[in-house]
Amino acid sequence: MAEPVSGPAGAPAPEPPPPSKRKRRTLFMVIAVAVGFVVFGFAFDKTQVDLGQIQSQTRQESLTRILRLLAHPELVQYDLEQQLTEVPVAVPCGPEVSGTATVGQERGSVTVTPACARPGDTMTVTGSGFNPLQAVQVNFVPDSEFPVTLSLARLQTDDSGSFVTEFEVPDRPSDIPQSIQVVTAVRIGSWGNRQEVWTDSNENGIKDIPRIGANGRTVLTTDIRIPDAPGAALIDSSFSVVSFISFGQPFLAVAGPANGQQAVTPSDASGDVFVESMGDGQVVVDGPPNTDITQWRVAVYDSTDGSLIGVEALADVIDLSPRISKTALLTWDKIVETVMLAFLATSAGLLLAIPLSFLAARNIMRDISSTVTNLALTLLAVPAGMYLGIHVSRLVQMASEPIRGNIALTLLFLAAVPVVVVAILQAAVPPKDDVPVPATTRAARQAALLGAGIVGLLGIQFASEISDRVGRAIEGPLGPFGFLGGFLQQLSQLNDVLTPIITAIAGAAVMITLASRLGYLIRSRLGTSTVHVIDFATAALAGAVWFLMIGAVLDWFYRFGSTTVTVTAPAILGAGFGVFLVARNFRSGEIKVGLTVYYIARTIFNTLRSIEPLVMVIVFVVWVGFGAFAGSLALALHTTAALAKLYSEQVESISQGPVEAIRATGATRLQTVVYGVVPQIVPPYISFTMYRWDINVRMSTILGFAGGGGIGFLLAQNVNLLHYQAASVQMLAIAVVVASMDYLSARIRERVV
Amino acid sequence: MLKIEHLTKIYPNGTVALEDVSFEVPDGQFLAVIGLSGSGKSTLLRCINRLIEPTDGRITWNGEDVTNASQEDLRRIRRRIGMVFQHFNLVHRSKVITNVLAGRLGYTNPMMSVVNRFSPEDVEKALYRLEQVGLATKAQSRADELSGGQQQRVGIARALMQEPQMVLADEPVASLDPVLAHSIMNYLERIQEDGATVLCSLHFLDLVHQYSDRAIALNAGRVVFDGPPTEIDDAMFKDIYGQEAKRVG
Repeated sequence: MAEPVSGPAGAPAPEPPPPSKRKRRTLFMVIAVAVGFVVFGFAFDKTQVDLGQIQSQTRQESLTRILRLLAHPELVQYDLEQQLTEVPVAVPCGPEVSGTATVGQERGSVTVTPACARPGDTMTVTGSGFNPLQAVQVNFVPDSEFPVTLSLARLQTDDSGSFVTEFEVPDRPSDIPQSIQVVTAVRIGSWGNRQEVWTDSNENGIKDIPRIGANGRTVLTTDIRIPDAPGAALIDSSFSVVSFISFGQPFLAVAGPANGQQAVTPSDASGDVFVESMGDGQVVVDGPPNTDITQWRVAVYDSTDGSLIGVEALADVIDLSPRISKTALLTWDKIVETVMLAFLATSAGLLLAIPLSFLAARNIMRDISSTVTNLALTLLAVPAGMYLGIHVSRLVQMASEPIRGNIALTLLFLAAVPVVVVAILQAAVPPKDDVPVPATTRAARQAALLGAGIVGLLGIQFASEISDRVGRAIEGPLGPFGFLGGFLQQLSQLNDVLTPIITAIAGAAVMITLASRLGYLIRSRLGTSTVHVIDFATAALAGAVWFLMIGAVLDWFYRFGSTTVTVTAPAILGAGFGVFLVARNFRSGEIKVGLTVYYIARTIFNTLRSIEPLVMVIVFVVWVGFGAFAGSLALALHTTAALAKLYSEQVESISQGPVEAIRATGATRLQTVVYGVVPQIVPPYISFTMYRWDINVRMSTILGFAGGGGIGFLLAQNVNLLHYQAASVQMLAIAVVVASMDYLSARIRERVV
Repeated sequence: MLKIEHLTKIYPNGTVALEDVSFEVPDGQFLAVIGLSGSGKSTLLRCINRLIEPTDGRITWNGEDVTNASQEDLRRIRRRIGMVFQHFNLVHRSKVITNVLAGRLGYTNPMMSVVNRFSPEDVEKALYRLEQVGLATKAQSRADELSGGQQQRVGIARALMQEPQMVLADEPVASLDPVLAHSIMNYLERIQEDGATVLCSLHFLDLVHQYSDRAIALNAGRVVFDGPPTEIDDAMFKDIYGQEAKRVG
């Protein structure tokens, strides 16, 4: 059966709106345009929009200059030499001088137009074929019996190596030809043909190669007066004394670089490099062939009174031109620091964010509720547990002290700890949980676990001691890998910082378990009215305790100095709040703890996330000083908050089916998370971590602007010094690193998801 | 014996999913739960092992009060109740064997699970169960590499790992084609033959006729029929599924 088709064609035309409505709409439009006009006008005023600046001639020239400088990053460094070009000119014109004069050199040529003029006329000097962006000095060499030059102009070649300048011919008429002298700085060498540049550091006119010769010897010729019974200290490039030898009696230096150190006779000397003999204006230094002695110095002493006679560079500086610039080397150093800073911040943030992210996941926290009794007891248990935990860690540290003094005992105990812990774990953690165990066995097992924890803690102390000692021992011998020794020592310090925190948390966890057990017993064994009395009492106490702690924090910030504000008021308020909570949940006797924790965690993360690391770093710089450490701490804090939020959203978006299935098997909450949640969130976690590292690299490049280390510091410095070619190197490095991080993280994320 | 008395579930948004549901299931029975989508079948099955907390009423199983069990007691009860789901509910990124082993979690010390360790007997048992459902070769595959029918067999192996005395099957064949449906129902039948009670919600009446000893029909959260499936005649059918419904097989 055919139904009448209704469609756009068949539909009645929409009624035109009534005139009053149309008027209102028009009025509204007019007002909207007017408001928009005012708002944009205000915005233009506040941001000082000035389109005239964009068109201004001088501004455009500055822009061009800076862009050209930025386009020439100072990656390669040339040594420079002066090149003199003299162009003959006549003042005034003689019969034989033509219109222009040009003199060409190996690098660059100079033309003067016209080649003759009267004093006061204008001459133009043009140059081309020189090195770009180098200083140029233009002089007039008059006919004089003295070597006089008149400075005419000082300028710079452009980026193609040319220059132009005009000047007024000076009032020095003469019959003989005079000349225009152009002094240009030209680069030495080229990449295909690198030239050695020798700087005579010790000014003895001899090329002292900064390496000990193949014969195991280097000889320094010096004009320092060498006394009859001299002493000599060798100082290396880091200003430490390598050897200090006396050719007379042993003596104590009273001045100079070896001040306060004892000089010994050659027979007692130690060290590879030492002064073999001295006299006749020569110092002979022996050492293993090819030892690098760049920037080493020798300090000559008088052994009779320990006074300093003189200090001289042991060798000269010999560079190749061109070479990788200092800026480039420094930039490389700092960009590595930047990437490592981002890496550390990301890993620290990751470690903290993983557990925290579960607290901020609604689907995990939603179902967690607690009886009023349990909650009150737990709130009391947390501060008590933390206090106990910190105390235990102190006790353990004290108990380990006598053993830590003895390295052999420490090693012995360190080896014993894992054995003991594993034995306890095997006894106390049966793999199966299929038959109900009596309460006493369970209590004994838990006590044993606690014992294992304390033994483990002791083991960590020993490990930390060993780590410190090994670190100290290997720091020197490892040479370029000496930083590993420093790392071991820092790990040992990390133990001092982290152990009290971890034991505090563990203590709180233990006490919470006990509290919930107690709460369960109270609820199941006692009558309803008794439970209510206990609820009110414990809740009031818990509220008072927590408000007192909050009061203490506020007092620490604001120094109220009044017990009414810091003790009485919080105690009463807290107790009242506790009673109020119990009364409010009187009927159900349950409180949705999970959601409360969820909201608190969310709020903290959102607050921390909204503070830029660039701002956070200001506080950390005050705490730990300028440098990359402050930067990585600030970035780690920000990363923790940001990752915790991203992660928690991933936890929220997992499919609930598998979680439900795992729960149905009788799995505990922990097992459900490990088997149902974790496998689902691993790929997004990896992906977000890579993404975050990428972001952190970008952020760490600017942390230096606020003193947080990394390449930003260098960049800010060079920009402030108007050293744009150096700044350009740093900008280039940032661009390269950020782009490659971006690419890398995208590739890895593609793989795991 | 499973005893359900005056079971009521009202969701926080006010939906009444179950209203005063009472019935008893003797041990070893194959009970089919039928009814329209949204009639409360899933809620009923999930209340029995308290994946959903009942609002009111009491559930007792072998004399034990499920509704008031503590967390530890509930763990002991749940581990003897296997569950099979419409969407299989496997952990996709885990291996098949891990999914099957998850059935032993209720028997495993939680501390051992953190380091992802099961006892060697459990691993052996899991391989045996996989062999029983014909998937021995797939043990090391990832769960999401399997077809729908295979995934449901893994789901059954997981339930079998619990050595269940009762199996709750929530529309186990609704996402499968008819041939696979029969193969899955056969596995459930075998579980029943081994002495377990089976509660299975179903959509197809011919499956109900073929496999179940007894059927319970829910409509808007109330029991509208309780008896042998043969008694579901056309009039009864319209009571359960509404006046416009037509039988489709």
